[in-house]
Amino acid sequence: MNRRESPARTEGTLGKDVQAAIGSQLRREYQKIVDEGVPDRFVDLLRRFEKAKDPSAEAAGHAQEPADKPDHNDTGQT
Amino acid sequence: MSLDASVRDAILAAVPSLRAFAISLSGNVDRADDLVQETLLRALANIDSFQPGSNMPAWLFTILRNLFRSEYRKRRREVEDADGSYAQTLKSQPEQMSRVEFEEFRTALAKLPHDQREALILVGASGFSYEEAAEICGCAVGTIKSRVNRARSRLSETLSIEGAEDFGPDVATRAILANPGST
Repeated sequence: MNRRESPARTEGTLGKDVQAAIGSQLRREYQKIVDEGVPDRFVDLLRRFEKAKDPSAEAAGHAQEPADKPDHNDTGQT
Repeated sequence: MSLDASVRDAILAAVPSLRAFAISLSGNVDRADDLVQETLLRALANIDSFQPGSNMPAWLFTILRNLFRSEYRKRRREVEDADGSYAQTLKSQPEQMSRVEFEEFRTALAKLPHDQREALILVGASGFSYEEAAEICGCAVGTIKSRVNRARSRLSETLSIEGAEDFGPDVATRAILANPGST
């Protein structure tokens, strides 16, 4: 995995505006997914893990609102 | 022992970005979510080896990347058709761009060599430093910088070449920029 690649020499050859454009486009695409928040399955997964480890930790599971997903409806229910 | 609340919160806080990274690696939302799930299970199983206060996102990204890498090796051929599958997954609607521009960018991204795409996303989208990205990928900082630069060059080349047919010269930026209101 430690393949040798010559250190960057292209820096500066690309216009800053091009780099910025690529960067902002990339972040925009990425952000769309990030904005989907935490899917329920992962919230549940952590909750199950907590309960398995320590049943009394269940209550603490409510402190974290997983995401601003409107359809998230299982908070606090078991 | 229970999962420390702050650790759990740190894990949950990292999930959205972890997921975005997984989707960008695998090009497939379902597989990405499986990858995230496997990552979380792996992390929880080894949670004792996590130093509270250290970099949770980097830790999780490292696990996910390694999982993906081993899976990738196994299913190389399947993943290699990324040209098609990567480009057509992620059905997020391109509100900010025209359809053509959106597809162009996505296709160009999909055509990047795996190493370069990974480095570009970690640094350019996930917000990791070059040092963190190097740690996640298990390579030298200079290697990451090189990959990121190559990725950028290649993206801009691809986009300008493909764009040139449609728009004439000087589209290197325009094809990418694609600012909605900025006609």
